[in-house]
Amino acid sequence: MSGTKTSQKGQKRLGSVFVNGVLVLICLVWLIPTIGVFITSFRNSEDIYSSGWWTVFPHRGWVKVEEIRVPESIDVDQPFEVAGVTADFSTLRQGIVTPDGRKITWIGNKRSRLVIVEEKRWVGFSARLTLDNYRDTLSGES
Amino acid sequence: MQNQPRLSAGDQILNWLTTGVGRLLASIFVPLVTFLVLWRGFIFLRDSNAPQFIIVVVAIVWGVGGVALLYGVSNWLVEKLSGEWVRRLQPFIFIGPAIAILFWYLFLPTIRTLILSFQDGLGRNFVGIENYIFAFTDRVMLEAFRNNLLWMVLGTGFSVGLGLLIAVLADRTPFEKVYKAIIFMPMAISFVGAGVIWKFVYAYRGEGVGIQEIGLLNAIVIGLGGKAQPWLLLPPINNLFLIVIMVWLQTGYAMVILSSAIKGIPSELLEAARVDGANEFQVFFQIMVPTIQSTLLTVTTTIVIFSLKLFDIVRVMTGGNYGTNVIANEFYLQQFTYNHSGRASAIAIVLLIAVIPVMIYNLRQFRKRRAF
Amino acid sequence: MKNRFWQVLAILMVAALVLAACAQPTAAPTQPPAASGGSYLDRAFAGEFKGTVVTMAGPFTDNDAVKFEQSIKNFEDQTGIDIQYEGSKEFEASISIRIDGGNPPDIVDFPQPGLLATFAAKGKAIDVSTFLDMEKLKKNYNQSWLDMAMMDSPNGKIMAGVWGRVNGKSLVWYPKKAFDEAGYKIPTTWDELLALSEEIKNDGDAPWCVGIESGAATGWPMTDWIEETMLRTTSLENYDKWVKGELKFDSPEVRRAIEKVTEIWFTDGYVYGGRQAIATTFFGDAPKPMFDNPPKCWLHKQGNFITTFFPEGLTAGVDYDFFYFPPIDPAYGKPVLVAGDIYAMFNDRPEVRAVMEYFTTGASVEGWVRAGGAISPHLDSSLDWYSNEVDRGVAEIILNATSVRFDGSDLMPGAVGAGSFWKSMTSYVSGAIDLDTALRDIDASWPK
Repeated sequence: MSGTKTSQKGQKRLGSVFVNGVLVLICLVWLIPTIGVFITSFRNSEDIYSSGWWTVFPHRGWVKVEEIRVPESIDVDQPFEVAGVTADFSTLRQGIVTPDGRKITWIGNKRSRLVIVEEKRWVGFSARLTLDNYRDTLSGES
Repeated sequence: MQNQPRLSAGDQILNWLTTGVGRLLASIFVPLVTFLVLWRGFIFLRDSNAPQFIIVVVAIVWGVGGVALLYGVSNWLVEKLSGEWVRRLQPFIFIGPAIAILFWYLFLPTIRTLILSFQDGLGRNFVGIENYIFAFTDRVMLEAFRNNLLWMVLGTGFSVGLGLLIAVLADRTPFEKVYKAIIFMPMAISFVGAGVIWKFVYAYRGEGVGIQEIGLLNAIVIGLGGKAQPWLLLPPINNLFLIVIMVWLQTGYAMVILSSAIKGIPSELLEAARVDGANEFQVFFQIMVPTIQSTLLTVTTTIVIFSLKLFDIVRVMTGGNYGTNVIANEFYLQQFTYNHSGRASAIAIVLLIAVIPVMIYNLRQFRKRRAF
Repeated sequence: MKNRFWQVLAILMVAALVLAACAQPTAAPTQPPAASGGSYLDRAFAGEFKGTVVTMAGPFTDNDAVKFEQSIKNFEDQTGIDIQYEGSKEFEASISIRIDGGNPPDIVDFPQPGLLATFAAKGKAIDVSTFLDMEKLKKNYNQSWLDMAMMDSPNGKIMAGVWGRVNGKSLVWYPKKAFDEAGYKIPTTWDELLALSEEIKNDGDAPWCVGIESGAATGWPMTDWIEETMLRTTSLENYDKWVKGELKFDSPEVRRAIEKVTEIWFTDGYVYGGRQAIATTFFGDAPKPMFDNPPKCWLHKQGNFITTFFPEGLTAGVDYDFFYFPPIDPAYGKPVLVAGDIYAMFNDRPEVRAVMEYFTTGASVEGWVRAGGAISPHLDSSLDWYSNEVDRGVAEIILNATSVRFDGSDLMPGAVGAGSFWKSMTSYVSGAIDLDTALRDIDASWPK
C-alpha cells in the first residue's frame, strides 16, 4: 500500500485493458455465428447458396468492367493474347491478376469464348436483402 | 331380550369400525371408492358426445377437483384414526402420489427397457446377452464410445475452463453484465437451431473453378491463404468441430454458476492474500479455486452427464456419419430407423449405467452444498 | 371456511358433469346405414361422410405438400371429408413413434414400402383387400404394383396399401439450351456417356452434379445410382435376390455395380466440387449449378421429382430436359428404376375407407400430375394430363421399359435400406471407410 501508487495504478489500467481485450475477443467469437444466421435470414435462397453472408457488408470486391469475345480462329489451348495478358485457356480459367490490379478470367467452358476483365472496387451494402423468408415462415407458405 | 344382543352387535361393529384394523380398512376403502367414482367420471366423459370445449372444461374441473377431493377424503379419514396411526399414515398421503407417479413414469419404464434389452428386435423372443455383445463389440458402438469419451473430456473441459476464465475476468470489469449476457445467449438457442447456425460456419462447397465458399471457417482459411476443407468429413478431428458447438452452448451455464460462486468468496480473504504478496495467479489457483471447489465439481459433473447423453448436435450436423456417431444417436437409429428395440434398449441401459456413478457423485455434491 | 371450500368443490364437480351430460352432441359418429348400396367412395360422393376428418401423415413438405393438398382439394370439396395432411422431414422416425405408441394417423403415406413392411409384420396395417374391389384394382393397376403391395403380416399375406404417385428414377437431366449451344450429343450407351463426360471435362467443366446430403437420410441418392448400375450389369433375378438379402453386398455383382458408379464419381474432375463435396451437398441443391449462366456442371441423374428443386422460372423442354440413363450391357435391356408412395391405412372407419378407395383412382393424382412432378400408376389416368413434356416423357419411359424394378433400398428392411446402406455408402464416398468395410458392415446389419 506504500510508495509506488502511480505505477500500481498504471499496472491496473494495463491489466484492465488486457482483461477487456480478452473478453471482447471471446464475445466476438460467441456472437459471429449468430450474426451470420441473422443476416442469412434476410437473403434469398440463391444468394445464400452462391456467396457467404459476410458479402452483404461493404467490401472491396471484383467488379466486371469489360467483356471480351475470343475469336473462333484462336487455338485457346496455346497461350494467346487477350486484354494485355498472354495465357492459355486453363490458366485464364483460374483468373489472372495483372500488376495494374485487373483480373482477367475466362467464363464458362472452352466453347463459351468469353473473357471478362474485373477491377477491385468498393461494393456497398447488398441491395438484395429481403423480408420474404419471414413473410413465408410466418404465413406458413413455402 | 332380542334388542339387547342386536344393539351390542351394532355397538361392536361401530367399535370395530372406529378402532384399529377397521379404521385402517375404512381409510383404504373410502379413498378407493372415491377414486373409482372419479375414474367412472372420466370414462363417462371420454364416451360422451358433448362439444370438445365443454369436455375440456369439465375434465379440468373434474380432474383437479377430483385429486383435491381424493386428498381431502384420505386426510380426513386418517385424522380420524388414533394418534399413532396418524403419525404413521399421514406421510404417505402427502408423498404417496409422488411415489406413485415416480413408480409409474420412471421405475416401470426402466424395468421394461431392461427386459426389452434381452429380447430380439421386435420384442418377441429372448436372445440372452446378444444385444449387450453388440453394444460392446460392434465397430459402430466402439466408435460411439470413443466419441462420447472425447465429448466428455474435451467438451466438459473447455466448457468449464472457459466458463471459469470468463467468470473471473468479467468479475473485474465494469461491463460484466454485457459480457455475461453475450456468453449466456446461446443457452437460449435450441440445439437444432445451433446446428443451423454452425452449418453456416462449417459449410463446404468443394473445389473447382468459380466455387465460392459460403462457410465462415473456410472463408477464413482461404483468406489466410489456405485451402477449403470439408470440416465435418475429416475424422477424427470433425468431432472437435462438433464439440466446439457444445462448448459454445454450455459455457454460459458454467459461467453463471461459477460467477456466483466467485462473488461468494469473502473479499477479506482475497485482500489478505494480496497483502501477503500473492500475485494474481497465486490468488486464483490457491485461494479462488479451492474455495469454489465444490461448485466447480457440481458444474463439471452436470456437464459430464450432459455430454454423455448428447444427441441433437450430432444428429443435426452429421447424422452420426463420418465417424462422429455417439451412443445416444446410435440408440435413436436402432430404435427408430432400424426398428430394433432390443439393441436400442441395451444401449439405453448401458448409457444409464454409465451415467449413474456421475449422478450419485453429483447428488452428493449437491447435498454437501445443502441444495437438497 | 374449510367446509365451504369442499362444498363448493363438490357442487362445481357435479355441475360440470351434468353440463357434460346435458350438452348437445355435436356430431354423432357416422353409422353406416344398413341399406345404403355402392362402394365407400360412391357413398362419400353422395355426401354421406360430410364433416368427417381423416388424418394423414407423410414425408411431403414444402412444394410437394402444396401440390398434394391441391390434388385432393376437389375430393374434399365434393365429399365434405376434411383430409388433414401433416408432412414431416423426419417422417421415418416420427411415424414409428406414432404407430408404435398406438396413436397412428388414419392414413400414412410411405415413400418406402420397406418401412411399411415392418409395420405390416407387427400387425399394425389394415388389409385393404378386405373392402376394396379387387377386380377394379386389377383393371386399374399394372399387376407388378399390386404384387409389390402384398406384405407379410401375423395373419399371412395382406395387401398393406395402395399406390399413389410414382417416380421414374433412371433419368439424366441436363440444361438443354446451353447443352445444345455447346453442341453436345445425347448419349445412348454407357461408353457414349463416359465419352461425353470426358468431352465436358476437357472443355473445362465438371460434367456431373452430384449431392447426397439429406439430413438424417444422407446417402440415399448413391443407393439409387448403385441400383441403376445393378440393373444394368446383372440379371433381374440377381437384383431381386439382392433386395431380399439372398445375394450379399460383398459379392462380385454388387461390387461391379458400385465400381461403375465410382467410375464417374471418383474420377478427378468428373463431379462438381470434387469427391468430398458429394457428401456435403444437399441433394436438392446439387442440380442448381446446371442453371448458372454459364452452367458449371451439365448432367444430373435423379428421379422426375427433382424438378421441384430446380430454380423458379425454368421451362421443361426449353431450359432443361432429360434422357434415359443409358444401358451398360445390352444383354440386360433397358431397365427402369421406379419409386413411389404407398398409402396404408391404420384406423378403420368408413370415411377412411372412402379416402383409400379414392387413392386407387387416377383422379386422386390428377391435380398433382397437372401441376407437374408426379407420374400416375393408375391405368385410368390420361397422358393428356401431363402438363409438360418431361412428365409425359417419364411416363413413356416407364411404359417402354423392358423391365421395371422398384427402388431396392426402399424394399430392403429399414435397418439396411434406410440405415446401413445409406450410412456405409456415405462413409465410403467421404473416404472414412474403404469399400470392403462398407460392404461387410451392410451385410452384418441385415436382420436375421
